[in-house]
Amino acid sequence: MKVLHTTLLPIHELLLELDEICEETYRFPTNAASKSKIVGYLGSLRDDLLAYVEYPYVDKVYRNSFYSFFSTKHRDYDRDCIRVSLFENTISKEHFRKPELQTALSKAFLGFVVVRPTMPKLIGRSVISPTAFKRSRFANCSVNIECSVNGVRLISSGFPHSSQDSETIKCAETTVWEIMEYYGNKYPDYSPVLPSIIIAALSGESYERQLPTKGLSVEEISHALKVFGFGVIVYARSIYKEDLKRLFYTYVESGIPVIAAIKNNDVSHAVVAIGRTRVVDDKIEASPVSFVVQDQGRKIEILDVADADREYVLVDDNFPPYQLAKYDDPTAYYGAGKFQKCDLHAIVVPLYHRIYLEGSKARSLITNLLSYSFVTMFLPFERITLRMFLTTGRSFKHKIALDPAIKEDVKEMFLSILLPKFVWVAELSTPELYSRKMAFGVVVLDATESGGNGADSVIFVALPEHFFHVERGKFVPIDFVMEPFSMHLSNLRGDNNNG
Amino acid sequence: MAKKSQNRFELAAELVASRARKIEIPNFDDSRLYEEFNTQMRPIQSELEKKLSDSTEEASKIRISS
Repeated sequence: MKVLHTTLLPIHELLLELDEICEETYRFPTNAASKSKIVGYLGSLRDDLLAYVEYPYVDKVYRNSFYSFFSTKHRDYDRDCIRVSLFENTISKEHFRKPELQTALSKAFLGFVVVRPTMPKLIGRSVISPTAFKRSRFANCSVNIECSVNGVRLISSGFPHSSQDSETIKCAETTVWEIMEYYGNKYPDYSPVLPSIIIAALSGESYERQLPTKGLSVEEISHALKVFGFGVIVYARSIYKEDLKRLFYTYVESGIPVIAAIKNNDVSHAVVAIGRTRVVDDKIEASPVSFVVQDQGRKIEILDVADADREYVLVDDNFPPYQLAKYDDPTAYYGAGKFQKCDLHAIVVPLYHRIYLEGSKARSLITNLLSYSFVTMFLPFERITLRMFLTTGRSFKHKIALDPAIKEDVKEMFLSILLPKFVWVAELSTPELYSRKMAFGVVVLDATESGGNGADSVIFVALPEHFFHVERGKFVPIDFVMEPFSMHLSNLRGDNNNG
Repeated sequence: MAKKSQNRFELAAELVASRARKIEIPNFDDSRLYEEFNTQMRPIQSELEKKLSDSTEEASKIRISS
């Protein structure tokens, strides 16, 4: 009979514990964990956490790599892992056995990280809440993943992460795995994948051996995601120039994890962009004017919030999850070394396969609509912010239905409109309203239209004193009155957190 | 919008309009504006489609290996 070893200890004692387990179980050299990237990983976590260590642990991702690759090598690789679960320091061992303490235990659980026997790249699969980290003032894509810790079922919420083992998965495969782990656990349309499944998905495209991996091209990343059910779109910086930054923001704001291909002369790397710093921290007043619309001598400055100075949340397999970096310096957190001064060269966007209207077309429809005099004349401010994102019709309506700032008759009007599964939304605000997470107007486009006949993509435009919708080949105006309403902030998790 | 929801929509819209300030839109021709918008957007959208296919080709050359 095999026995499970477990320990509950303060996080500052974890490194020593891992050194001992690695030496005794994996037969690694002394202080193996202390000499690995685990040190930096643990250093990024809050100092007041508790760690629950369990081994041997069967990790689905490492087991897959083990049987498809590591077991075929001459050197012995252990097939088991160690799992470290993280908790707030409000729990004790009795929380795992007393029913009345389950709510407190669930609340205190912050996720887990797997330690693989693949020296020196020991950090395996993890799903950890941003709140476990020292820096967590941001909003990000998050998924709930069930796990069993010390016999008790718990839910970890966060974005999936893993470091590469450099033989079966490098950064490119890791980004594909992370995207599928996220979507596969969040929506029934997708399934999580394992390293050997990613390799199999690309075997028909590959003209040379796939193991040990040499990485993937952007084309292969895109192909794998297409095989796994997405309608993928690839945007290259050399074509889109400055507009790529706006598209990048728009998809991140939509809660769609985006694979970013970053490069300099020495390295080419892939990370997943999963969020951004909070809306209240955007420096909108200092943002450049993105474009100007005119109406009878009136000049209205439009500040596209995509142009605002902000950091994005990146999941990078060389670092702990939730690194923060600006669009123009995506590897700033590497400090000195060969990753310095990388640029973002392309983004791979895994869209739901029924979204036909992509970001650049949606943006051009909205900016052109705002320039039309029958819309411009109802824009009531001289400096207006524009915030664009994709969301589901259901999510859009849910937010409207529960927004106390919207009057009942206006709510009824919005909620009676039949919406497609996905809509493009452009929220109009002012810098002052934006800082209070409020907007004064909204344009809604049908994301299932491909944009050929531009006006047919427009579902409605709602401004403080007028409403337009498109019906039977006409723009139909309606007398209207609407107070400022709350911004739609449910695509990402974290804008409404305290702290 | 579907006819069934249109009734509910029109009812709500009437209620909102009764509270609203009446503003005339000068020279508003609903179907001409619709056609004009489509005519204006057509070449822009075709250009964006070409951009997207050029982009796919450009990005496919990038190999990620770190």
